[in-house]
Amino acid sequence: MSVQSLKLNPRWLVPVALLLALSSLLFTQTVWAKISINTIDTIGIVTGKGRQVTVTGPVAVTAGDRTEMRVTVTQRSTGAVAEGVIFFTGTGQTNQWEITAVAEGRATFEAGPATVVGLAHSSSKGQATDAHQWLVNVTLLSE
Amino acid sequence: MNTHIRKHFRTWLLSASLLLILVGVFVARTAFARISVNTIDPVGIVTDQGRTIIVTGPVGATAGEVGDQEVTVTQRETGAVAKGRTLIRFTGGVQQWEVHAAVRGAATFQSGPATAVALCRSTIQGQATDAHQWLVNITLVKE
Repeated sequence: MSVQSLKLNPRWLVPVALLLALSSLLFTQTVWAKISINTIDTIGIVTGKGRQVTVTGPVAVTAGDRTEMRVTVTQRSTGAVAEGVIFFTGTGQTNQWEITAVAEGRATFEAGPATVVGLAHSSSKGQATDAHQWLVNVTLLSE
Repeated sequence: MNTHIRKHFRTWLLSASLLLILVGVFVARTAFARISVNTIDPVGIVTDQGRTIIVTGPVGATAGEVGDQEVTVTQRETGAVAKGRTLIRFTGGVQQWEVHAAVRGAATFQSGPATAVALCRSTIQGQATDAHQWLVNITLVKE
């Protein structure tokens, strides 16, 4: 084997580099394609005499992943707490979700500042793939 | 006669002012009786083969209030979710809490980054006084 043969042929270099780049891109996408582009829209709507709060937002989940998404809304001025949950299957695209959280306890919500925490838990074939929480300060408006 | 009336008025004014100050202090104390100095310590402990997470942190609220605090820990890498709860009898100072969060589902935790969200509802004589959530990115280490 000559020293010459050990050197990479420039003709192969470009296709090999491209293949490696594509492979790493695919690998990265597989590893990281979980719950993403998640946030909570900054306006929530209070209904049902302060006993319900509707919050919305975008989220993207790997196509086929079953996802349980839960939101908890709290309001400091009233001491009110509400919780809501939805289930959906990821499409691989960004989707808009809407959850109507129902107040727990006697305290009710009013228009004004509130805090929302989203928790999304995804799984594929019964195996957990991601569990992610995020917090957003929102403003509640009365319907 | 006039001097006597003036003297009487002054005494009355002083008493009224003192009463107003006392009422003001009481109202301000009630109005600002909220959860404060709250955070989550940046290191959590993984125990029980990844099925329990111990998280700690400081919190303060007005003396006499009772806090019902729930902590949810998630880990993106493993998809694990754990929840735990504690009751805090507030003394007016900063208190340290500790929650043992138990895993929900089959996925278990491992050392590394995780997210913890605390939700504390405070009440006084059954009346909600505050509901506050806070999120902290933490690092889990094995016991």
